[in-house]
Amino acid sequence: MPDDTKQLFLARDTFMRRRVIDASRLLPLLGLFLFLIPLLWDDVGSGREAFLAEKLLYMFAVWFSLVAVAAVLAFKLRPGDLNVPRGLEEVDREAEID
Amino acid sequence: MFAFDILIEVCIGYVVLLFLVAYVADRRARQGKIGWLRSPLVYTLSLSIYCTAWTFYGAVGYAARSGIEFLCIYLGPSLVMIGWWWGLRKLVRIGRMQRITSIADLISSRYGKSAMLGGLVTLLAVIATTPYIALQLQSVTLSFGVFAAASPSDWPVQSQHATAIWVAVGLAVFTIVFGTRNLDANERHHGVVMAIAVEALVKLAALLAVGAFVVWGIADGPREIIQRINESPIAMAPNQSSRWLALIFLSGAAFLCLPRMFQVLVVENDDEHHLSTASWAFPLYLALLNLFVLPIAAMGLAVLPQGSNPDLFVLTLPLSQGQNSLAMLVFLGGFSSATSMVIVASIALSTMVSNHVVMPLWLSIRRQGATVSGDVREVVLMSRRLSISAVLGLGYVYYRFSGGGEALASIGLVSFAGVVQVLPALVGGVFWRGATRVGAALGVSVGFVVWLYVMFLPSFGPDVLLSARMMLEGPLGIGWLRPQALFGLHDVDPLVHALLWSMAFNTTAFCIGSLLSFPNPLERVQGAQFVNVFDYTASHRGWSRSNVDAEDLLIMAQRILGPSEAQALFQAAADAQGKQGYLPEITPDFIDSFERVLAGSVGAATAHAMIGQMTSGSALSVEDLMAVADETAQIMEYSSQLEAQSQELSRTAGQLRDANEKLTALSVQKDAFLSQISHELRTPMTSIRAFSEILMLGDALDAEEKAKYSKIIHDEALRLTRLLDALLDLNVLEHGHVTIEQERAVLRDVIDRAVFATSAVSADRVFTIDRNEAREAVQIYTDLDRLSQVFINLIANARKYCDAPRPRLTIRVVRVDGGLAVDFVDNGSGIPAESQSLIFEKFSRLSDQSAAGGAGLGLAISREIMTKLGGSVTYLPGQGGAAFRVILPKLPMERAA
Repeated sequence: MPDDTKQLFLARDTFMRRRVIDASRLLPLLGLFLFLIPLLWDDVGSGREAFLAEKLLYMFAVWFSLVAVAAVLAFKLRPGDLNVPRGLEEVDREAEID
Repeated sequence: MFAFDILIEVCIGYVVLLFLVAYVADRRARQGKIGWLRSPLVYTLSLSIYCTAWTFYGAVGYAARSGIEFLCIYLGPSLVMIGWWWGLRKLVRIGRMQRITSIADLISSRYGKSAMLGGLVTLLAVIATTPYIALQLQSVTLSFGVFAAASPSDWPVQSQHATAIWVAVGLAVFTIVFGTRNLDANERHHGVVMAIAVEALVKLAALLAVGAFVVWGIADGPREIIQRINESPIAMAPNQSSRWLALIFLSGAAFLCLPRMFQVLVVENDDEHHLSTASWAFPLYLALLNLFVLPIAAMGLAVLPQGSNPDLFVLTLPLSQGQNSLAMLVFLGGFSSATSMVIVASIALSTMVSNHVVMPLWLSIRRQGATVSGDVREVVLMSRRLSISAVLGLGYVYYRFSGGGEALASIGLVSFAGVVQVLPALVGGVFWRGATRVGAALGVSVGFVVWLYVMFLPSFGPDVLLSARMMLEGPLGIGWLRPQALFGLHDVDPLVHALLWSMAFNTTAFCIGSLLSFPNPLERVQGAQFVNVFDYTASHRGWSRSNVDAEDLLIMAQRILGPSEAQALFQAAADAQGKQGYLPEITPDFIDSFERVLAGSVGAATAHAMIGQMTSGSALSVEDLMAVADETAQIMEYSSQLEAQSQELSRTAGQLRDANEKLTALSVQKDAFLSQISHELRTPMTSIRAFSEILMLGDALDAEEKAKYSKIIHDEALRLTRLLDALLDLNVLEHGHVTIEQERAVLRDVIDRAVFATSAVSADRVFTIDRNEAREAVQIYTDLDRLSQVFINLIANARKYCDAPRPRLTIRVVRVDGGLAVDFVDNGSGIPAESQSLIFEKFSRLSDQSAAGGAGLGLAISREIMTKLGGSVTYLPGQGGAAFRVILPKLPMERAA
């Protein structure tokens, strides 16, 4: 039935929107993890050649990637999402189950 | 190398440009042409005041000393911005909903509009920010010094201190002119923000230009730079995991807690959507700003002579290569970094000082507060201007006091750690409803004291504020209280040490204080509003009852907001209430919104206190409690309304049930009617058919028999006709298509006619009729035929059914309720009580005396007629026989002659 299709589509839409919000919540945690990885590369005193520049490149690669992902997420979050009250999110959750 | 004149000219030219930008932006904003003034881009660029001269010059110095660690200072804010959905979004929403003017205002407002907490946070902010302002003055002075060193004879201003004074005074003037123009902080400082955005671009352009010059000008491209970096001594700097983590945390937290950051992030934000753009654009800005820092540091260490100050590499590197214009751009970039930070910081601090220190003091000195004469608006503005001057003055004093040496360089992190002491109260206040004022005050003050002891005081070095002996052996020789090795923690980095202990003590005190204390009602209300900010569409009502005069409020509002703004505000409120003129009804809602407008000017605590003085005195007084009781009463009333509604419903249900029963009865009656009528019709038809068949067959019948049978057929046919006539008559009457022809007559004549017409009924019986003809001489005005039809029916019934041996009918005219009625009373056995309600129904007959000739429709017709005429006919019990009362329609009557 056409009505069912429409409902399914709506639920899918809100589902995706909530995943975008989830992603934008998880992104800083991922970023923190990636930024801490160089701490594990203990190069000093190991006799190997120093690779500070490579480390720097890694840091900036992570940094710019985070910016890119954050930008995509920010564009995907529609303006109305800023005003979603908590009650509505609950409704969304129900819609998801459908 | 530039001559001093050119440098000064460029400097002044740049400042004039900023003035112009700020002026134009302010003017456009006042004309309502906000447009691009308020784009997400401007918002993002205004956040760049996070990057002060400490970043502009200091990042390279930091990188030259400690390697890649310098990045952490920018990673924290980047992660905070990227994770805006966690906390920043809520903070900005709260700031807009509650009209927050500063971080001190936020904390004070959250914890029951506590003036004490506001003052405490202000004190902390001033102490932590002053060194930072000094740092900016120093950086500008140092950069001047770089040019001066090249040609000392050229420079009229020999003393660096004099430079610092000039810079401080210039900044104060700029800030006062553009920062204290309007009072309502929520109107925002368009001019200042625009100027800052321009400065942000200059900063970025300068650093990128130097970076590009270093990579492609001095070096041979990225490849050589990578090689140089790996060969430089920086590459040998060890990574300190604890410091790395601590720096990310510290910078992220300071990004939220720094008064100037709070100012641009929350207070100056006028569209939440800008935040989503800034969430990626600001990290991008930070990344670009830091992109070339390490290359510049590595190249500086390699190219410049030993012992050069790495903090000034950004400036000295182009100068050493003869790139004077580039150096000038760098100088402007550094100048921009310093000035924008100082401007916003002093605006933020002055707002805090005037709202949380000066105004509460002023209000408590003048007990009568805003109700007495005097322009509060001027007082607030003046206190802000003085605060700006004082803050810059303090910065200068600090700069002089600390000697302007290298010691200042480390003050940035000390300052960060100081403001971060607000973080537990901030985060707890926004996410935890159980956080109380006692907890917040304890947490902030304990953290503040610990920070002072383990970080701030030792930062001046031994024997300045703390004796070297004390720093080495602890106070009174107690080793485990040594400032930089508290509780024996001496192996860690001083920064980590200080941050760990101050935050640990702070958070613990905050939690314990919150758990053990009970918040007052206002605190709980504010707590709920802050924590559930996304659930609240309308704000709660704070002021429930008031005996304040609208005019008094207007007078106060004019003093604070200015006459035209205040009048516009009041007029709009009156308009919204549908009232003419300037004075609205003083409703709790109005006072509530008015308080929020005031809060935008003087802070939540002061606004609350001011309105409190004018309304009922203290916050949440007996009146407020009464209002709560009122609301409870309203709720109870509502529930009783619900109860009434449900009663109404059950009543309706009862009525429906009755109607249903009646319908069922009617249906039964209809069935009975149908069977009755078929019976009534069939009886005569049967005899007509039988006798007509006999007639058809009958040759043997004699004339007498023929005549007899024909008469029976005729009589039955007549009876059938009468029945059908009666039925038709009843049908017509019941369905209202009846014409009533009213005329005047004397009642006596109508009765005469009826008695005469019925004289043939049961004519064989002796029947006496008693009448009082004198009383019957009454004028009536009605349909006479119909009325006599009723009378005939009643008299005929009496003649037919009166079972007395000497039947007698009494007809009497009586007055009932001012109307006229005719009673027909016979002396028979009457009608049994259980049948009295039935006799007016169709086909109801007490005995099956069909032989009496009636079809049982007479009384039903009579009732319908009387209803149509506007009267009635009822059975009159207790008269010693069958008695009917005909109530005549009311009319103006007079006795007949």
